[in-house]
Amino acid sequence: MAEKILIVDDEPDMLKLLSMIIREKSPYEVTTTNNPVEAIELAKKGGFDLVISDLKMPGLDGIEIIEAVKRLDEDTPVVIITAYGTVESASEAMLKGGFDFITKPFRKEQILFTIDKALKWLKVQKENKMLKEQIKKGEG
Amino acid sequence: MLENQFKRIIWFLSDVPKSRIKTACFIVLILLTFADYWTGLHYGFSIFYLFAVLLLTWFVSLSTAITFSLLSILSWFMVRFILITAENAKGLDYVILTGEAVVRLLFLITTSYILSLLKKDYAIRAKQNEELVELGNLKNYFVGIAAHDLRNPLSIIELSSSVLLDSGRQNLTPEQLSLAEMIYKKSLYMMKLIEDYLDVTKIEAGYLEINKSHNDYAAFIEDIANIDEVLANKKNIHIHVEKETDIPMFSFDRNKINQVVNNLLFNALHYSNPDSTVKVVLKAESSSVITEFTDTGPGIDAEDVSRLFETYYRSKKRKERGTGLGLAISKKIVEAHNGKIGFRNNPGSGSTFWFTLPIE
Repeated sequence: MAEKILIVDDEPDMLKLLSMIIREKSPYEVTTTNNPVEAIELAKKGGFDLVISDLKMPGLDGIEIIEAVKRLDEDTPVVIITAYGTVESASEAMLKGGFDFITKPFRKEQILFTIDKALKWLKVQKENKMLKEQIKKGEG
Repeated sequence: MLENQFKRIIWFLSDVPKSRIKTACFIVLILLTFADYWTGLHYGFSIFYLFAVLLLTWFVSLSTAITFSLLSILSWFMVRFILITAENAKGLDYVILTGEAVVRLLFLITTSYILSLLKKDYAIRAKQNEELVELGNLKNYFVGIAAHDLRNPLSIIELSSSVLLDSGRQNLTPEQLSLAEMIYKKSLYMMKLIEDYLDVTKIEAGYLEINKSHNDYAAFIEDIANIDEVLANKKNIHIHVEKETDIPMFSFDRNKINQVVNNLLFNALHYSNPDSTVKVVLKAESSSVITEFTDTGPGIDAEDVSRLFETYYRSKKRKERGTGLGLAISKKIVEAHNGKIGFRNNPGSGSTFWFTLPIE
């Protein structure tokens, strides 16, 4: 089954573009919303392997999205998209548990590369957990 | 503080020949001083009161200083009057005493008047300075906002045109493809302009942050040259990187130095003749690494030599539009690393731009 990606950005054109790029160049399933509050609702319904969020949005910002996603599932990677000049807040986002950040403007290869990296990391993370559980069972 | 006061006085003096009233005041002052010397045995007195009068003029007002001068001279006159009367003074002594009093009074008043002119000029200048600083900040603020706001839609244009170009290789006619390419290239160019404006705004506001890390400098330069080779190939220019000595590892800000190298390399490629070679030479000295970019272009005009690194300066000879910011930004970045940047015209043709970075 294809991995599911949730994208949050208050700019609808950016959402359209990102989902076009991802759909065209990768096998992943994309859901988008320009409403950060709705994004958290969507995340609660679950099933997303990766969240991509803009850093500065009206209402809720990217850091709050990270916190909400991490509360639901600690392993879900969150990639932050940030504008020029906000690298400082992007580093804060990394401290809060963000997986990586991309600065606007970015090339499409950059976003695709980061998505692959995040999903690979998730896979390794899941395998790790599984192995640990197996070891535990074995020990038990 | 003292140095500032000194500067103010120097500035005032340098302005004297241009202003008739100030010149007149100065001549009167010199004459009065001479009269004081000629008549009196009591210079100490004048200097004593002068000090108070100057302070009052600067910190309170001219009228207070004049009032003080009148009072002080009056009191001096009375004391002297009593003293010489006790010594059996004659009529002529009183005339001399009155003359001395008038000379001293004029001396004090003239001095305080000159100082008040100086104070007024200083206040005007200080206010103008303040207004200029404020205007500069406002300009930076607006450039910042405009650049920020432009950046978002532009990044969407750039990204979407690149997607269009990519998928259009099969589906679009050659004409449509070249149009898409035009949109993509121009949006890249605009983005570069905006980035430069934002950088300058940041630098002028004093926010140039340097984050150094330990890196292989030679490999770093070779990587940039390899990427720019694609650009160079369009003009059939070859980029030749040469290490004159071994280059040690040292600390520098990769992103910022990347910007400097790209600026200098881009200029070298831009001005070089087609079918030529742009040389990038690296050499290490005892405490720094020098990077040189030699082009085959027309060289630097004499009139541009002194202003080339100024913000927003553009050579008149240059036909293309640019921001005139690349070199200014590069200079700031190199200087923030405690390095130096410069250029020289080469005999024959072409110029060499260079910068140094300390090995640390």
